Amino acid sequence: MGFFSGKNKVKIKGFKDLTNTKDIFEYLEPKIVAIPLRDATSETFDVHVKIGDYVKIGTNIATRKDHFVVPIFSSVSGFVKDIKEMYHVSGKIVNHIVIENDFKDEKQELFNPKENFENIPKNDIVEYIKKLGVMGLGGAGFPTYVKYNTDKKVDTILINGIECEPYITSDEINIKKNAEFLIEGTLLLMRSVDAKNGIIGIKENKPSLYKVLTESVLEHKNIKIVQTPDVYPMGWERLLLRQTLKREYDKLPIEVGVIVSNASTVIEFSKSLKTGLPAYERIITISGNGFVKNQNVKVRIGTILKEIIQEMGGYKGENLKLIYGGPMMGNTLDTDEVAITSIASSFLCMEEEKKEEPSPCLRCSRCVDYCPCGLQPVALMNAGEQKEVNLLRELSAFKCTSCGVCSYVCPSKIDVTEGVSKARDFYLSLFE
Amino acid sequence: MKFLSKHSPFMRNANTTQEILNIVLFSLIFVLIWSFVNIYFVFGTIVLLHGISMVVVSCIFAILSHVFFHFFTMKKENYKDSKAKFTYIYKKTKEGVPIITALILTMCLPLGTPLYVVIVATIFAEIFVKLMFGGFGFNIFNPALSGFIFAVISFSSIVSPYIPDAITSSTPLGIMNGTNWGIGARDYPNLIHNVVALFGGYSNMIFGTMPGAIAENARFAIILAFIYMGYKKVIDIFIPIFYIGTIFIVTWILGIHLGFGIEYPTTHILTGAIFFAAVFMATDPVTNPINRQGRIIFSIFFATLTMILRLFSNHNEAVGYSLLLMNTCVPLIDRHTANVTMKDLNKKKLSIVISMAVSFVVVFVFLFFYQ
Ligand code: SF4
Ligand code: SF4
Repeated sequence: MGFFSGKNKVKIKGFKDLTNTKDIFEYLEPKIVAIPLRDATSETFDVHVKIGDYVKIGTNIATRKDHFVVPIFSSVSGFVKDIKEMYHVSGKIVNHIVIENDFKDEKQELFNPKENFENIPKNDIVEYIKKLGVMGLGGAGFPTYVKYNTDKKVDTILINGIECEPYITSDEINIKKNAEFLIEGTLLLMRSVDAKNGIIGIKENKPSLYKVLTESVLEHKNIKIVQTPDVYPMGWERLLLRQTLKREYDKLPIEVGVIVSNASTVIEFSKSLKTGLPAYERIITISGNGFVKNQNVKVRIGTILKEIIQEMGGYKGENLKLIYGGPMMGNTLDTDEVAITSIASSFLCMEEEKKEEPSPCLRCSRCVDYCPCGLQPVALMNAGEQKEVNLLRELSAFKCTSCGVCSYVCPSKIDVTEGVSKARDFYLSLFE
Repeated sequence: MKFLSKHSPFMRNANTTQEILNIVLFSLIFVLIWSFVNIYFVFGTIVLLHGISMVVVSCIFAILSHVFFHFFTMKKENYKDSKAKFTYIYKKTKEGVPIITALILTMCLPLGTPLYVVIVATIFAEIFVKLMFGGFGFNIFNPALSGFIFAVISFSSIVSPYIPDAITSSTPLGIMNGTNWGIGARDYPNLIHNVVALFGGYSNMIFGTMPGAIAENARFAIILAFIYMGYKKVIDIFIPIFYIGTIFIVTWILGIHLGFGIEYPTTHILTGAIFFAAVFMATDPVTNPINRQGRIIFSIFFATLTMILRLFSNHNEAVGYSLLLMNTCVPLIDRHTANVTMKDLNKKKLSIVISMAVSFVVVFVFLFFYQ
């Protein structure tokens, strides 16, 4: 932020009170679960089970095998019923392993539960992360072990508890309930890379969360709780680093000695160490005016969304959009027969408002002012339409994160984000 | 269950283009009313009526230009009944913001411009500068400004000196231009003082009770409009600040060289259309650069050009010509301030921006002393 660089962030009404004051609804007994064979962008998996095999909670059923090795696990006990193509939250058709729940909840521990994290040798920590298949729960689903498996000097572990997208409160609830796990996990991760400091970033409009966290870090002087302004996209690593540490990096935060992890990731990791089981449940936010009930729900990974919604009273209203993710960066789904993935944090359903026709762009430069990446969305959009490759390069098309800010602020109601994303995808497709 | 398929984001803020345009329109009308009140008290009813008719005629013809243009260019087969055609034309005309252009245009014309000149200028501005380029948002030149320059060039003998009998034809700008702004007149230390006194002192120059174009003298109202629009964030306040600031600083230096005091730069910024152009024309988002750096370079260059034209060629329309020239440079400036990432912004780009602009000012000052 500065005189020349524009605002780079925008204040958005949060709609968080729809869900963050309510209890967690539990739906833990699905008849079947479908575990998608896709994480992040990879669909190359070794499948370790066949139809008819018996699996338990924690049985390794497949392993991602491209340049990263990430095991995935069953979240119920029962027989593998099918391996079939299904609609995935990303909008693609992906292979899923379908398991029929026998409701016995038999468990298969990966290792002996760890009561005291201080006994875990430093060099084993990354090994545990890898074994548990921990993925970043911030949305991208990047394997966590890759970040911590580094010989660069790291001085700070930054825990991202911002959750800047409107509506979503699953992280907030999770942190509030599991603050102890968060602190323990952070200390462990700090130890794994010899980082001296830990920072937990949360938004300033969550005083109760701040209180819970400050109380639980009292005896750990090396962890700091930092409150950030309530703006979007504060949870973006780059902005969070700029805000809390005033550091700028080129590609990855590790360049400036920082590793960023999502708060829920750390919580799930500590929990898994305590139980010896990989994460098989998670909290998702169900919110928006298209759902009868707005609440956080605890579910088994792999549960079919349709069942959960039926259990919660279904839909209301006309012209609904079902959104996976937040309202700024999420994508719409064609059907509610999708499996909850391990990184899914929310599903929203909104009524489509009658939208005004876009009026011509008046070059008001609001999109330029607010773009968090410092790009010129309107120029990018036009360059993309004209397919001007040189201009797209000059304008750094590849930097766009599809954060949605440019469409949000546009007074002419132009779908700028859509245009920029298309331009970026076109530009990137030239290099494939 | 069927769900709609849409691209993110699924939330929009409440601002609309119409709101922005309404704020501009409101500010323009405020300045216009202020000017009319002045005109009434200084020049009387007849001149006031002429002024009002200029504005009304210009607005009517601006709307008519849009209606006819869209009527003749619309693909008729796409619109079955006349109701659909009407909605189309209505929508397009509204999108084209004819009224704001018409108001700005008439507000820069001298009081007493014949009505047919107003009409021709309006049609030129709407059709040739705006609609031919694809309509509002696509025009390269500021339409109102182009219309004004067109009128001045094509009807030069009528537009500038034509003032109804009762009114003296001299304006502070005209007189100062006549004396070459004191250049080579070091023996007239009282020159500025006399000219200002002739028009009733600085207060008149600020509040606007003196001859000139319809609205250029209502400087106080323009400042209020500037504050209002800046507060509402519909203009970039740094364009007027850098533009007027650069002019002030540069002429101050020159004034010292010529043996004048602070009255020299003050008179410079208080004559001619500098205030009006800075607040209402240079800030037109369609025809100025897309980001802050660009807009600041734009303002500094614009100021320097204005000074060159005013001091070296004594044009009454120096502001207009230089803004038109700067409009053509906008794509260039945009291109050079593209790709501004957070990281190189602070060091590399900023130094380039400032050194370029400053060197331009320096060259100008040098040129001046060389003369
Ligand atoms: S915010 Fe919308 S109207 Fe303004 S410059 Fe960007 S695209 Fe154009
Ligand atoms: S979507 Fe891309 S271009 Fe638009 S504001 Fe976000 S980063 Fe900038």
